[in-house]
Amino acid sequence: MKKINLIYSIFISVLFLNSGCESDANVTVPSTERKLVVGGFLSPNENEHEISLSLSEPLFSTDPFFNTTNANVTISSEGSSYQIAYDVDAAAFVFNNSQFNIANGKNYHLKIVAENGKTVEADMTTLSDTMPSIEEFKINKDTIYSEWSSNQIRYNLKLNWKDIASEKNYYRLTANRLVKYFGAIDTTIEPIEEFNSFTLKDDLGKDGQILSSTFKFDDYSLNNETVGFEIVLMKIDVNYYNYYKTLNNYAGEDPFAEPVILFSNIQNGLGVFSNFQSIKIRRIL
Amino acid sequence: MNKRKILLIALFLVGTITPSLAQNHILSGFVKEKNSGELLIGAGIYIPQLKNGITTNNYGYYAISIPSDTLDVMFSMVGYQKQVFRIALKKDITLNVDLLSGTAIKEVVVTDDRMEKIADDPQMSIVRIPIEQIKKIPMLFGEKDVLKTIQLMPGVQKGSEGNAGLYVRGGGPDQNLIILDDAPVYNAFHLFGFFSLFNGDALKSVDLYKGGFPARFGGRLSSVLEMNMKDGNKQEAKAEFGIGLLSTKFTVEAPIKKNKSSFLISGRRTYIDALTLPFQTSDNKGGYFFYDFNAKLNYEISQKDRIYLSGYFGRDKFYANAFESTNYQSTFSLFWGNATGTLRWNHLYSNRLFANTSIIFSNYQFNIQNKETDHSDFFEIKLFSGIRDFTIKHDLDYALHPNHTLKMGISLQQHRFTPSGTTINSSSIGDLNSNNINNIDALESGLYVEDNLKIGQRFKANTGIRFANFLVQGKTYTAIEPRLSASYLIKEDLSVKASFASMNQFIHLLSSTGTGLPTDLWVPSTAKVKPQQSNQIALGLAKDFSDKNLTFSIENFYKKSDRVVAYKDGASFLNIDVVDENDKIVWEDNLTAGQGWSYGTEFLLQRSKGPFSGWIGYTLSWTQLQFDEINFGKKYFARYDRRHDVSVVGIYEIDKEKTFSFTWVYGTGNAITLPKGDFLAPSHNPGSNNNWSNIYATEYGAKNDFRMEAYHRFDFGLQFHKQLKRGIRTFEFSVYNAYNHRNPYFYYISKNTSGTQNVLKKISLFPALPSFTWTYKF
Repeated sequence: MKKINLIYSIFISVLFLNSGCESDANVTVPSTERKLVVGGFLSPNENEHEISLSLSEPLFSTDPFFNTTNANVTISSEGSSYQIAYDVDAAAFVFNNSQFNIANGKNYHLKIVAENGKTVEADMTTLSDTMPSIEEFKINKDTIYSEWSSNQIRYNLKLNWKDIASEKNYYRLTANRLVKYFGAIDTTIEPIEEFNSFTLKDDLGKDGQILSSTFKFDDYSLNNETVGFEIVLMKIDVNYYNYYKTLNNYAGEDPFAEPVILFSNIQNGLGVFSNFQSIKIRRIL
Repeated sequence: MNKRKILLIALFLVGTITPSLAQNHILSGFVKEKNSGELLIGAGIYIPQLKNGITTNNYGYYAISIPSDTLDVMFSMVGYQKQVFRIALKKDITLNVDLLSGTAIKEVVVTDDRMEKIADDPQMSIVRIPIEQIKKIPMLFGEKDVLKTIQLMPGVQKGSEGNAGLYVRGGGPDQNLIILDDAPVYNAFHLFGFFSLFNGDALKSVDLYKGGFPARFGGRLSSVLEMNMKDGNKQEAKAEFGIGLLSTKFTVEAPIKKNKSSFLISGRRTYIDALTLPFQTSDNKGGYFFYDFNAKLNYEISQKDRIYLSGYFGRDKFYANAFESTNYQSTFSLFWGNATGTLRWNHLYSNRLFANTSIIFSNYQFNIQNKETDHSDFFEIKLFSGIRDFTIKHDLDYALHPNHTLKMGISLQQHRFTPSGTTINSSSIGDLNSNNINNIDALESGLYVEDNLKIGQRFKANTGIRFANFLVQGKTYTAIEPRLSASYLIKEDLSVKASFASMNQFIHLLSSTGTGLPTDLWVPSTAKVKPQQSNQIALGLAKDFSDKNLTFSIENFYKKSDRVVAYKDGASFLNIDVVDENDKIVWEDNLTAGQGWSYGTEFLLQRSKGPFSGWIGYTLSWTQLQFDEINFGKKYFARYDRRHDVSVVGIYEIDKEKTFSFTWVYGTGNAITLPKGDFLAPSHNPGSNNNWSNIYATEYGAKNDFRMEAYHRFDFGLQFHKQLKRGIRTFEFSVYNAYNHRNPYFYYISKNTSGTQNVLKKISLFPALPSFTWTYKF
């Protein structure tokens, strides 16, 4: 990486040394409007559900800002519908199953009308209630050499599960470390994946077979102790999968990176309306 | 193609050999330039009574089987005086011919030979630019550039401002096979792509095939750029020196043994580093330079045997050295370059059968070195990547019959890819000393046969087939590639042409910038990354206007490519570490394979002879790509999709002492993906206290849905030649981008002057740039 940064710096320097001039582009720029950004990750096996709503910031237009907290957010399914209220504490539109039930195997439609009349809509079908069976959760412990300090412990986590046969399945996995800080009473749960890194799997070509996923954690903490690990295995719908697949590729400010166009199933808007089901597997060391 | 079809085609071809072989004799020999003894490539040999002819091969040799008769034989080449011989052919005859160069006679003789007519040439989609024309066309900083001249032809596009990369019929710069004296050149650029490696002073011929590829070529999808170096003057010593704004160059050629052996040495070096030296402090020094060096040696052992040894060596180097005290020093350098070497042996088994055997070496390496010295302690790190080839090939030309001239050959190429190598030496941390080099070896082989055939007086074709094989890491890929390029004369000076070529490419270039950075990596096909494949068809018309010395051609082409590779969304050479900590190759995971479509029409009106020469080229084309993992699987326009591309090139010999030249180019803007807005992308956090959070993201439309501004530019040059007592002095004044059009190199987003609104800004690299060069040839 050091090499790459060096080359990049030199290239940029050469480029700017050669830069004859800077001027306004003589081309019509895309005049995009401000869009509603929707976040919906619903689960039939959870009681409370949230729909987040925000606005995009167009680069080349002055489309005025408007309030999203008073938007009319309606979820409907099979003839019944419910208008979701904004919850200030959650900073999202929140409802629970007693108000409007999210059940397995049903079609749901989301419609949001903002105060200025802008409307976005999205559809999804909730997953079946069948969950994959966990075959094995292994934790191996190795001693590895560290450039930075004395030898350290590396934990290798591996989860094997059996894919549900005869249906197209997508999965997301997250791994958490159970940590006990010295002097603390409670155990803390901390994710072990890097920021903006999401583990996704699909069963393409492996329908009904054993799938596996691994995680690695190098323990060099001095003020705490690892007491265990947990893995959350989520069965996710195709919208969730496509959205996270593009989010995984997002490369930030790297000027040489191929641009990542984030997936969205929101008509006239951005974001995602999706669902999932999850199993949590925990091992104490 | 099934076996039955192949058999039928074979029977058809054999069936065209109707006359008895015994009634024919072989007329053969070498065609040379009269004053230098330089063997001429592509000289035409034409027999009017038979309305048949051929051209000399890459070694100036020709052999034609013709019936016993008294016949006229014409030898000609653009820029040379035609020669006609009457021959009573009762046995095999060897006829070596010397043609007088146009520069040696008062004015270029306007010949009217059929062999110079494009209508009569079965090969289509080929660009041939005389080296003398390349030297007259105005260029950036006065640096004459073979690749940038080729960019001025229809069907060939440049990437970005000043860049010497070639995009041929929608193909990427990695899809061009660039060969110099049979040796592949992997990185053909100096200074991040602004200049090409090739020194026109050392070159004899430059041919670019855009389609209808003869079967002797393989390994790339989009083009073959074949360059041959001069052999060296066999008659007398000659030299040429040139000084320009950026570089100085020289070429020396001379006989070692008159008419038997000669050599050529040519070199070029920039002096940007020397010019900036006075402005640098004694404790901090840095700079950049490039140089290249060509050399060739040839020896005629006998009439039947000749050997050639040629080579190229070039380097680009950035360096920065800091001497903070007598005890502490830091040196950094970044250098890259190619080295090629070719040993060739020509042998005549008989007058009919010409053979060439080549042993070829090619190496491209990119290096970074950093050394820190503190008192007696030191730390040194070297990082490198590259590709190295050893090749052996054997090619045969066989004059089978008046209607059939065969070419056959076999080649074996051993590649060693080094996507990543690191060596560390340290005086204080012994454990860090390491030598970690990740090589991948591969073996590529090819076997081909070509037939230049003629059926009747109107139909000519170059048919062929190539068998290609690639072996890497225990995985074998094989391919059969049929080739055809044919012409049918509708009238004496008008023909319809068609071609088909199937190509496979077993090696890939990892490049996300398209700017010709030395960090671009060549990698092989693997079990995961399959070879790229393409099929191209072309159909066109060729017309000669002999009375006006004009040729006109229209070509329509359609190219479908499969398994073309691209970086996935978000991938970049900045975040591609070649292997991970477990030595697992990760570059494969950052690639995706898809399909490409390129189609269009090319028009070319060209005048190669006379005091006013040049061409007008126009290309109307579309290039689209589709990858399952890019743009949600939808088709999109390639970055270098260019709807309209126009080039006008003129060279006017005002008199013997003055030459005026100009170029004007216009091209539709590149297709890019422009950000349209920012937003906070919601992210789901299962199991945590916050069920969701936000990730800062950019809103784009579809992939490459924004067009940059159209590119256009006018350059002109004026050359003043003066005959001195010993030689000719040429002074050139030229202006690049004469009307100072601000062509965009890239865009970025900034605020307007009041800071209230975003605006799109462009960076333009080159305003109107005058330059001067001085050359002396004696």
